[in-house]
Amino acid sequence: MTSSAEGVREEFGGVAEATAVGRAQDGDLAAFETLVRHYQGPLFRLALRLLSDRGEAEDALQDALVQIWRRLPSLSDPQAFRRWAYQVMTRRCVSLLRARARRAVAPVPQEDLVEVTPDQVASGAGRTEDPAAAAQYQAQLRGLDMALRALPDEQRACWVLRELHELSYPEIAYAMNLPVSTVRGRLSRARQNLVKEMEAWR
Amino acid sequence: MAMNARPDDRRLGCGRDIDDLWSQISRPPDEHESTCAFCQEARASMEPLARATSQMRTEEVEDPDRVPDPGVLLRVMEIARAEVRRARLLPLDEPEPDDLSPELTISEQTVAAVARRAGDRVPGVEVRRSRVALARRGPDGTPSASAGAGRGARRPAEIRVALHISVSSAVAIPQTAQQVRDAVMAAIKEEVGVNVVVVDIAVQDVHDV
Repeated sequence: MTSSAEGVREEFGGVAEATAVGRAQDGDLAAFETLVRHYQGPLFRLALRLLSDRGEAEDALQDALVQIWRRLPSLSDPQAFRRWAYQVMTRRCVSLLRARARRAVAPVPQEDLVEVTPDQVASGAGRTEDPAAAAQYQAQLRGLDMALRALPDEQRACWVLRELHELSYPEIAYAMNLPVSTVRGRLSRARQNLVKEMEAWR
Repeated sequence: MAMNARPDDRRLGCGRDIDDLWSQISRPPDEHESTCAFCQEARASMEPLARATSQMRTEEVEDPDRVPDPGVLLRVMEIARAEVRRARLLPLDEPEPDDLSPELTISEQTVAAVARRAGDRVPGVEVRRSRVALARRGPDGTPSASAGAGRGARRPAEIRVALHISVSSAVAIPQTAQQVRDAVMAAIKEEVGVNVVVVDIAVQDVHDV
């Protein structure tokens, strides 16, 4: 077993993730809490990228976690917890986005957007020697952030799952309830749109 | 960009799939790419996105603004705790058929936890699932008629336990399963005071290969 897998075991109270999942299925609260602590960060970052609103993302996270708790006993394969958790979170966000589209609400107000702060620019600059290159990096990162918000919701969801959370095509297909071929097409179109948008930031 | 007008045609002029090129973009160009003008052009057009993406992936994990409020965890655990308290109860004494509300009860969860801890103490064993039920419950979940044979004299309830376990590759499964069975029966008798008549054990996984 690799050292990183041992590290993960530590995180779940010294047992394999699938064991923690099995215990949580039986109502073991301590085991469930280790799962929540492990997954709340990634699931929240996903919700924040999809919804672009902190309050809504926190509500969606809470709803998803409660739904995970209630439906846990029906999960037949404890090894499938991760992709299942991503599915519950993604579907929650997608349904909120659809409701938002039906209401035709204007885009999220500016104060709710996560700003790139000067501190983050400075810490990013530390990664490279050349300040001009660092400034360009930051400009590109900001450009990507804005280009992502401009993507159609379904394209953004597929892209964030693939590129920021590193899910496989079949895992994304499962999360979004789409055929793999559709996922492939959306990822391809998302990438084309992002490349085009980012040309302005070169 | 050297791409066809149709959005779903992802072939470059040289026949390579641009999606494949994107998935390999963090690696140095292969032999074909380093001489192919189509691949080089496509790669150059995607490189700013690739760089920004990799930076975003690393930075957002460390970004303190992208951490959920601690209240979310507290509220979720509060809901889970309240629901566990309302879980099913087992009678401590063997129920009579018409005995709808036995006086002494214990939650199934508590007994399952005793079984889980006892199994975990056996070397090389991780208990994944632990479920308990009255041994003589009929198919509809109510105590079966034969359970009422000893009316009057209270007898400890009889329960069955079902465990799913994962074992270390270093242990012999039949002996280990027997050890788990003995440990679970002894612990439940001792700590809960009910009789375990059956311990079903399913070995689901080997956790260290």
